[in-house]
Amino acid sequence: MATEVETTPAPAGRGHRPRRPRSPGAGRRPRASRRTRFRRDRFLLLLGLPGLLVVLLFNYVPLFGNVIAFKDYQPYIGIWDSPWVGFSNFDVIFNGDPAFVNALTNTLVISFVQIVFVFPVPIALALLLNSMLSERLKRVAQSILYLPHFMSWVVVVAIFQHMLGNAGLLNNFLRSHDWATLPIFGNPDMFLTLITSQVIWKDAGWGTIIFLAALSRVDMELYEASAVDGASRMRQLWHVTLPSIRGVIVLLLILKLGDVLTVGFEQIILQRQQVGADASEVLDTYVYFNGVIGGNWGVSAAVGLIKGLVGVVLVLGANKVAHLLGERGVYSK
Amino acid sequence: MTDTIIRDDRRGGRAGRPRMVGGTPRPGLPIRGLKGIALLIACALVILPFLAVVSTSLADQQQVTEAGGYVLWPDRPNLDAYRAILSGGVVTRALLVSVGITLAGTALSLTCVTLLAYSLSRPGSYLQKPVLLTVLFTLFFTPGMIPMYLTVRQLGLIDSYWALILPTMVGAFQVIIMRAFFQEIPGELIDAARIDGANELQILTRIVLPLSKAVMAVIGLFNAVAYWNAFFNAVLYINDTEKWPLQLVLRTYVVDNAALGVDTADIAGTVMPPSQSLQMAILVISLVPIALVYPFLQRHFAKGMLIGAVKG
Amino acid sequence: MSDMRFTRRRFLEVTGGLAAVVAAPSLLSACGGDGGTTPTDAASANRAVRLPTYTPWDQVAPDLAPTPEGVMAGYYSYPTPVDAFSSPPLAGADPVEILTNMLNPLPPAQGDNAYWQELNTRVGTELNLTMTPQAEYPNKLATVFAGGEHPDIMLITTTLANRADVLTRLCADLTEYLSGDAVNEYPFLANIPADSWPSMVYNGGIYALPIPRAAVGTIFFSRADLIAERSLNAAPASYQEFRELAEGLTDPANNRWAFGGGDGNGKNVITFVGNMLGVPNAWREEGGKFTSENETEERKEAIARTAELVQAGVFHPDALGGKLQERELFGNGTLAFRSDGYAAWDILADTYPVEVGAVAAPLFDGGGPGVVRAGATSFGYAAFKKNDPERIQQLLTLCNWLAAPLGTSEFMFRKFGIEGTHYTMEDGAPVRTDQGNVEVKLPLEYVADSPHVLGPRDRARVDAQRAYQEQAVPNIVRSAAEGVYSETSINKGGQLTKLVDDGALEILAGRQPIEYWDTVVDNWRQQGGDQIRGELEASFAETR
Repeated sequence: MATEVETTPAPAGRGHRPRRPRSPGAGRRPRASRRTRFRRDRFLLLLGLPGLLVVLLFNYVPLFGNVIAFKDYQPYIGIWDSPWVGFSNFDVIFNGDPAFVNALTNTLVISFVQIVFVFPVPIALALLLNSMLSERLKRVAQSILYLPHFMSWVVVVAIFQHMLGNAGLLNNFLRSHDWATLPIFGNPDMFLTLITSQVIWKDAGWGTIIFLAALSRVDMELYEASAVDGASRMRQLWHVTLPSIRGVIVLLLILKLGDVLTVGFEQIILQRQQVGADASEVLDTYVYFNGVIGGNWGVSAAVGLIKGLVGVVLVLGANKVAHLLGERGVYSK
Repeated sequence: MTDTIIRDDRRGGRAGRPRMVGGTPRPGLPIRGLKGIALLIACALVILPFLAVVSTSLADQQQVTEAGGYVLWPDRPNLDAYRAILSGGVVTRALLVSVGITLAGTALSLTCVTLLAYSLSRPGSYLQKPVLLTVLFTLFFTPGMIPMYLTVRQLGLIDSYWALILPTMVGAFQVIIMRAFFQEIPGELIDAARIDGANELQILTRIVLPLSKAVMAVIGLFNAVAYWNAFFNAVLYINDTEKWPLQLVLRTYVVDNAALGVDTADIAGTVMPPSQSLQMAILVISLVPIALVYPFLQRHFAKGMLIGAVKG
Repeated sequence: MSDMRFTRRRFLEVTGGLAAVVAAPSLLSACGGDGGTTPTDAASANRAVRLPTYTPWDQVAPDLAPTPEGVMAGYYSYPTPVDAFSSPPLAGADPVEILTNMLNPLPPAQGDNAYWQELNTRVGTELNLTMTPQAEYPNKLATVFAGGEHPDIMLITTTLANRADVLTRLCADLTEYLSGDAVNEYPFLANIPADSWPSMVYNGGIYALPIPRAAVGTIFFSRADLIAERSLNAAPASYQEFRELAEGLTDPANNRWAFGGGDGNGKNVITFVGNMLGVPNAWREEGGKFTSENETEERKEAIARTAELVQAGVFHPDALGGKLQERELFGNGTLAFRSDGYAAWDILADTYPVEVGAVAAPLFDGGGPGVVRAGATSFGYAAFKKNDPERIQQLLTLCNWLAAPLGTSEFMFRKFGIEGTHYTMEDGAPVRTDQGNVEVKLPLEYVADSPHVLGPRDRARVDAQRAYQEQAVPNIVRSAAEGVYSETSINKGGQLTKLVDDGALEILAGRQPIEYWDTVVDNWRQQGGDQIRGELEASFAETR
């Protein structure tokens, strides 16, 4: 992979160094000697150093502790003194238990639904906000919509239940008029819809800010030029607005893919009893009940490793696809 | 079509050119109406539950009991719940701790993330890909709670505010997002600066940062919110309750046995869970400071930032 | 029904017997081994321990005396406190580091807390409490263990995995200080009922102090006023009458229901109906063979009957799986029943303008009282770091001081602070000042505590509570596994309980037929149930 970097010419028009000493034809062939490139970029590297050190110290050093994935780890015994157990901590994943398969299926379904239905909402909302005529209205709306992000799941679930529960405001109203009630809570068929709408309610507004930041950079001249050309608003959206935030959308989508095995643990465990494990068990809750709750630290480390590997493979793969489609992705080719 | 000339919505139109609404023709009334209604509905869906939260925090026990949890409008509004929380100075002290950690943490974090993101944003720079992948992988391989604790302890950070700041200071997600934004900055600008003899730091501070206010605001907000909401590190790393941040102190007001389905009926009966109004007041207290910050960051998301800065 | 009574008798043999009868000094030497013992070794060693002799402290007589069977003492008023200690018990000792959980709002830190400072003065040394919210406590405990810097005193929770190993490896063996009459050195520890001690024994030693809780456990509270208002029978004498009562209290159009879901799984009602059917409390033992409550026909029947009640529409529509604010809903009449810890009686009656009653389970077909499941007799385990004898004795002295009961000035200070500063006496009862409300919140009751009592309260309330206990306590059934050792039960208990509760919930919610229960029990057996049974039986055989 490292060679890829070296052989890649800098994109035209965005040359890294117009005046690069001892680097003939910079931008075309940046293959200078290692030392030269180090000397050229050492100040740049120095700038990144503090951040990198923090990452190494707090993300990589403790990572050695993940050897407990292969141990019967007990905190009171210590990492070194806990006995090795080979891959037995991974059994929870690889034993083919139908309950595990069910949890995995649910996780993937929920992830898929969230990528299709939740991911685009903040984008649409950001575009809507961005197109508002009144800047003031836009700001007020924005400051309202991002608020639910700060509510804990306990409160969000309680509020939803209070509104839509079988004895919530809606159904009590229906019941008091002798109308049929709407079983939204405690209904396995509605579970996916319910948790999806909760996620949208809680985080769609918050999710807009990154797109709004991207939209703020759109060159007004492009709009003006296209307007002069007589482009309709839809065409402008398609040809000017969306391309300008496409990079960010693709980037976030790739990162989201890497997270496909993780769906809101707290949200789901709070509502798991409503519909039972068949409809609601996900990977994290399955692992929680089949290892973590019994104080089995090795199991959670093992599952963490597997999820990490899957995440890396998915992100690198998705990044490749993005490159094929001509996007920049997470890292340049 | 092109006669829709509107004011510049940011400080007096630096570019001095006529603008249109978002650079686009003014849409017809029906479209505008539909948009307005859509936004109104979205806001209402958010506002109503929040109204219930605030109302419940102001309602008295009798009304909360009658309503069975949440009230939509307090009949006899009072500040008892807030008084109960804020009396004694424990919460106010924790509020100061949290503000301090959030400010210091956000400043340090933003500095480190910006520098790292910038150093990874120049095309073809030395070691870029290995460093980038090193950062990226932290998204997927997170250290366990206990190894993390041992590291923090080894560094002598137990009972130090640094233990609340350093471990979460550089987030891979933030670095990657910021880097992507930096990469969008037109290369000619940077080349031009270099020709003028600027070094990397000068390019960063004079060219890149002024063009990146929006993403700085976003990442700053992400950091601030993360520091503000964090409580778990304090549980593990801070024994001295004087140094506890607000969110952890507020958690001691919420007895939440049922959250993870642990059967504690026999032992939990000994403590009265706080009233619903107290819990809602806690939510409001933890929300207000961060809600106050938002409008100040918001102006950086206004339209036309980039072009204004480039031409200006 | 006969085996139920057998279970009760069995209990007396196991616990009371251990406390009073078994005296085997020669076996005390078996406690020397550190770790590495198999469960059966541990069981035979556990049998050897002579539990602390229960000597009730009698310098202040309660209005209603406690009974040996576990009916709590009752007080109609605050007795005039006596000074139990003449000087600070730990004068000159090193500061004491304590790790415990908290269920109250955080009090001000030592420097800003007059109560804490006075506490240090009265004890004679600094008490450095590290407090952690209860929900976070297991993680805190794990990191403290991992870091290896153990405090002098730490609260070990009932859910901690490998509890036996943790206690015997990390914690001090307190046997020589507490066993038998040795406990008389610490009269307020001797005042802790015998009920609470058996589970403190691991691997042949007493490794912790209990934080005593009364055996009466969970109570099925009712809205007595609503029952009276509708002229219903407040004391159902059979399942049929109970069901009629529940139906009479349900009125969907007005959002009135009989039951909530407890922890959202309906276990509250399953247990209550199970009490009518004589379902054993966790484990039943017959001739050395252990049977889990899950395996009994009675339990299955209890689930089927509860599912029937769900069908009959007497449960709150969001009871199963929902997160109901059950206490509020009980308070406003949405729910007519609520299953809650015994201490909730006062809380419910003081918080809401309602009349709280308590329903005891009748026999399913009538003709007498059903059973009452004994509650956990200790909140947790207060264990000491391994240390030299002098330090251990200091810590025991501290806990003795912290366990001074109602009637002592130490108790009044511990619970209410300094008179005049933190509370004032009004009509013979302490009333907290604002400062008291804020400062007197140290979680000392999770370090050591005296046994709970009824009141001091007005006579009517205390008499009602006492009447319930006098009716309920004779029917208490305990688990045959109490004081019998099973490592699997400690480590996998939480997981297995979840499995069984989830299974029952599937049936109650109508997603599975009652036959599904057999599958659940099979799973339970395979995933650890059989292993627990094996360990219990082996361990039980050893103690014979």
